[in-house]
Amino acid sequence: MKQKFPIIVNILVTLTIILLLVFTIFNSFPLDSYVPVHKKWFMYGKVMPPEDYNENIVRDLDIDLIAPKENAKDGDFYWLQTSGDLITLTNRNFRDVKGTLSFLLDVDPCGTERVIYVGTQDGSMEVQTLKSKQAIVEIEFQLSSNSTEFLSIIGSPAKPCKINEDINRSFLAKVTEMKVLNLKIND
Amino acid sequence: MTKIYVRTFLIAIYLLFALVRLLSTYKSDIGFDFADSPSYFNPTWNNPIRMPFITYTYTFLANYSAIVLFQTILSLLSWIVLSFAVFSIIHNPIIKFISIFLILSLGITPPIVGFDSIILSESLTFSIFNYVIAMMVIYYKKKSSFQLLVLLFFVLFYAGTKQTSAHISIVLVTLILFFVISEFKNISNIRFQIGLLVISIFISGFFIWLARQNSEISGNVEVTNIIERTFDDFESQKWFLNQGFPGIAYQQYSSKPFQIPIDGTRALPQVKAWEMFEKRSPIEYYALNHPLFLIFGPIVPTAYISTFTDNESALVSLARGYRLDKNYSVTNLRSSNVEPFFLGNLKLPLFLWWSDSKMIQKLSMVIFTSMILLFYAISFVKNLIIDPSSTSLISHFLVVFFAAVWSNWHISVTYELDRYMMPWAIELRIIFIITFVLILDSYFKRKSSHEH
Repeated sequence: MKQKFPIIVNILVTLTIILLLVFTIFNSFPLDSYVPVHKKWFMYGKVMPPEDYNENIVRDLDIDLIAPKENAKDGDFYWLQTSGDLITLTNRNFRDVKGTLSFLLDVDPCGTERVIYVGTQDGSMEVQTLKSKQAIVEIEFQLSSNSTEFLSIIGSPAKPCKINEDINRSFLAKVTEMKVLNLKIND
Repeated sequence: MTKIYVRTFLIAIYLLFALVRLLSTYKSDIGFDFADSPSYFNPTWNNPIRMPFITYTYTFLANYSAIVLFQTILSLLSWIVLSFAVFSIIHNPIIKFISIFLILSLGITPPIVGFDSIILSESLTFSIFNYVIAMMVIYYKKKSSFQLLVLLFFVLFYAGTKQTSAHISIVLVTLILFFVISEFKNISNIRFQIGLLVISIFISGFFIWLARQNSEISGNVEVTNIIERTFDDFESQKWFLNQGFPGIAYQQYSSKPFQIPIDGTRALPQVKAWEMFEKRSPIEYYALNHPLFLIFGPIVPTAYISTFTDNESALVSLARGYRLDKNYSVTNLRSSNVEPFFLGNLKLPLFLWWSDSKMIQKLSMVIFTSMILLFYAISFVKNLIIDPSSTSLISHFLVVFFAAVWSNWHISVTYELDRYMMPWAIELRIIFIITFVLILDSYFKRKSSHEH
């Protein structure tokens, strides 16, 4: 083994050098680089769509929460905390869109039933979390080309629910099946 | 008598080299990068943004001119020590001097000298790595415990200068350990040497742990690279979005910038939350999940990232190097202006080491890699004998080189790749010189043994 190791290293090193030599021969050694994304605005004076963007194909909206996405066999979920959360809907289509944001709300691990307030641009909606069944939340939205909408989430009572875990979260409610329904171009 | 002539000639060359290097730095102003330079004056062992050896050194010197002088002296001595180390393993007197001229000619080129006059970590890392190479050259030949001690001192000093150096140091120590184990019959106090190396692995591990404490720089690099490399490829984007990377980051980064795009992007609460709760080395994880991209991405990036050109290949950065002497955006500390350029008076020759011509850049890479291949081919040629320890030495240099080039390409900001590849562009040239003189030396050894 002691004798074989240097031989193996030498062979691997030689093969990698051959690889470098071959790709050097085929490289055109251009003097200009690609156009970095952060420079495009200065070059074109406007936000440029991605090069693979096709305006006839509607791209899924990005849904971001402050709470980390967690995985389970039956789908992704989020644990909201009593400090509240922010749902961010990002439309990276370069066309106006409309649709419905839908998700289910469950009680926290302690089983506390609460009123959850979802703040939209048009006001606030209330949803009750119950031990007996999941609450369905559906919010219609319209988003302009390449824009974002924020939805705040808070809950009452703010009574903390803690379980034995390293990150010491104070649970508010569980969000599952977060998705956008009926997403359409809204020109 | 001949020895006296050789020694006198050697001292004269070194004095001349030192004089030119000192005068070149004296003629240059001091460069200051307002984005990076201030962070080198915040010495701490607690979540350091920059590694402690460099921040403590700069803060101790506390004067820009003193730092530049320190960098210059450390650098010129490193090139002298490196050339002398290679000189010491060559037998033929003419080739000994060829090696000296080649190494010093590289050490006097503007892309290397220019870094001595700017407050950044490059100068110190180039220099310390030169000492590491020099001590490896000597140690692999003689294998004494004292040499190993000095070598490990430089390796660990190197580990404490930069985040990437900390990771490279553990590769270096591990390779030296393998060398010691494979040469156990030729090493007198093997247990002591292995003990030293095992302790060094732990110290290197400590520096890696320290390097990963602060996520300020790694966060900037990770978010930038995720966006820059997947912005125009929705399919690749989905992989990162599924890992929890916030989609709004793409929108913010590409929108009209009211501040530096990465600053605005990382200031988003969604990105902050992702960094706090979900980010787990996403770039490394992506590369490990895409093995072909991991292996071939750095050399043929166009096959994996549609907007990239051949220019984003590590090969081009290695051939071209980073021309600080052509970067006119750095502030001149003496005049406090970006203009006049702080390296305006640095009129040193490039020789053939660095070229503006793409044809010569390509040719140089072909020559460097062909020479290394020839070195390995020599072992199959009858009567052309290269000491096995020299082969191990070159192989270990190359393992470090590949590890550094591949990891730097994957984890460094693409549009600054030339700068991050610069230490390895230098190492490639040093490996080329060592293999070249070893081949010549073995040829002349054969010739003289035939004559006898």
